[in-house]
Amino acid sequence: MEESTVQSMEIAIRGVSKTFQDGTTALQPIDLQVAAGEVLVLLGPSGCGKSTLLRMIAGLEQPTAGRILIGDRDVTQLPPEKRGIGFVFQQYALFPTMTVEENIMFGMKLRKIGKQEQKAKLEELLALMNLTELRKRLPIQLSGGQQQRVAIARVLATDPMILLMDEPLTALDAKLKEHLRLELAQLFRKLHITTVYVTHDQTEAMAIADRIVVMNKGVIEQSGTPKEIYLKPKSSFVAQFVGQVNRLRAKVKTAERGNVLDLGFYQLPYKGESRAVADIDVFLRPEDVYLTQEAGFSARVQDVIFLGDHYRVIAESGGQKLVIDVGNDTLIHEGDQVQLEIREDKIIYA
Amino acid sequence: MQTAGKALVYVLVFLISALILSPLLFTVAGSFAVYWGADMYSAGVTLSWYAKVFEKFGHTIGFTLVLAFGTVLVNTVLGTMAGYWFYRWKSRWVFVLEELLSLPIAVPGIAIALALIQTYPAMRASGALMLVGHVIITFPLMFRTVLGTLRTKDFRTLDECAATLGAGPMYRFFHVIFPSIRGAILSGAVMVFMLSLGEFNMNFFLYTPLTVTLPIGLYEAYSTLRIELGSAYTTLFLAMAIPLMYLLHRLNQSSAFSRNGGV
Repeated sequence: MEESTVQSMEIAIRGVSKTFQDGTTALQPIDLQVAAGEVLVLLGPSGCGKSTLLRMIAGLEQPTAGRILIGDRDVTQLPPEKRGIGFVFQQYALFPTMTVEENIMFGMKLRKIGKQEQKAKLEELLALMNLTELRKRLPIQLSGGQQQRVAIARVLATDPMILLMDEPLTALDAKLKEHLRLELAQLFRKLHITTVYVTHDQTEAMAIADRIVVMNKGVIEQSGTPKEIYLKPKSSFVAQFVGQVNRLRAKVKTAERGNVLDLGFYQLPYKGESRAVADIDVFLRPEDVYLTQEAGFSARVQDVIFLGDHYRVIAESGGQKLVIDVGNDTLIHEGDQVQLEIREDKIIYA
Repeated sequence: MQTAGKALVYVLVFLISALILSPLLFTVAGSFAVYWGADMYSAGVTLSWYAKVFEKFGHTIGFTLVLAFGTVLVNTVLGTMAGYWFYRWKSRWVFVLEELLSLPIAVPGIAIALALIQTYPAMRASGALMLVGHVIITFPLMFRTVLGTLRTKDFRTLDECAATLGAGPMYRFFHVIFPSIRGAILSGAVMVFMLSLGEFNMNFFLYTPLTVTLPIGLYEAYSTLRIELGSAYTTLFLAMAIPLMYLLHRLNQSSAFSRNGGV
């Protein structure tokens, strides 16, 4: 796709909220800005309001309050067909009576584009999405992955100002999902089109996002780059939702050289916000605990799970459970006593 | 034992088929007899009864077809619109209204006819009341068929999808929804046509000398004229109805429903 044909637009969401007719609140008033060309992922568990927010940007749902702007145009009152958007559905939503070509042409035909240009664009998209061989097929003759590629081509054919994707990979099997995820990430990099992408899968979010917005119960928990979200989660919800994490009970105690964090089985310098003696929870990623010979603390191995590229080890110390990842060449067995060390700068105080 | 069981089934199927078809076959055979007495063809074979039918009842065939096509036309529009509208409408009242609209199937035609005469006496003379009556009793067939098909698939997502691609409501209906339910509409239309064609019950109360339909004419032919004439008349009716039956069967079986699937 030529970059000149894509005009990226920013999206501004101002105080948008949604309460459904039955009284359930799907979304508390939300403010969110999506920069032009940015790939923003809305991440959260089902029912967190992420899909509702996406559907409101598309015009498929009407906000209870607030305004939505695409570029500097207020689209809050506009129906979906007047918003200049592209929307990819989880269930592909290909038109069952139309062939691959006809599906891709659907949106193009509604725009004032010359016949020649339409044809050229069709060929370009068929090639881009690897669909040239399948152009005459009906949707029912395609696999899930092929159907979703058609759906994406169909959306790109309309030169949308913004691209909205609602769990586009969720209905696919694991292997295909991984493959298409990579393809999508590359595609986004190539297109530079403002994209809002909804998913509940944090691996997917990490792989494709410029910025992740983690949502829970209708509010934004945290917004940041994938790294920030993973390494510096701002709430216990974010820490636990994004990636594997150990949740450890701890006490903050005063000592001569500053506060210490007492895990019961181990003591470390406290690096959280300054506070008095208190019981807190801290979080620790499996990769931030490692086997050592000296120092550290002792733990008993309860379970060893072989995951191919590494072992996931469940260890226990002082009544607390610790999940750790070790290399697949490590000699470790159930019942072993091991010495462990914690990367203390990686402890998450959320 | 198994062979014996199978044979029994075949015999039963044959007997039931014979039971159902014999009267019709006799009627058809009788329509060619000069005089249908103890021996069907003792007085010879003739086509003159058919000539008589056209002479006496030709106009009823024309009117019946006009009425049936009119009913199909009105109900194709009404039934499809109502089906689509009900599909999109999210409320628990949908089900109540749906049952209400299907009521004409359960209510005797006489009752509806009498109610119509009392309510719209002015419309009776022109035959318009008959059209209204036919529309009412055949509406559920079209409506239910369309609604049922719409409910088997996720047409709401298809509709939303077309909207996000830039299609307005009318375009979406005619280019996305309609092609997918065309088979159902056609099948509904054939059912409506056949029901309208054969309706007697209601017509009997609503007809005027100028709006005699085929089944009414048939009744007259049998009750006041000769049995051979009535038979010829029946045969003509069958000749119209059987191809439609076949078409309906083909529609229901074919791909019109299944092949377009895969939402």
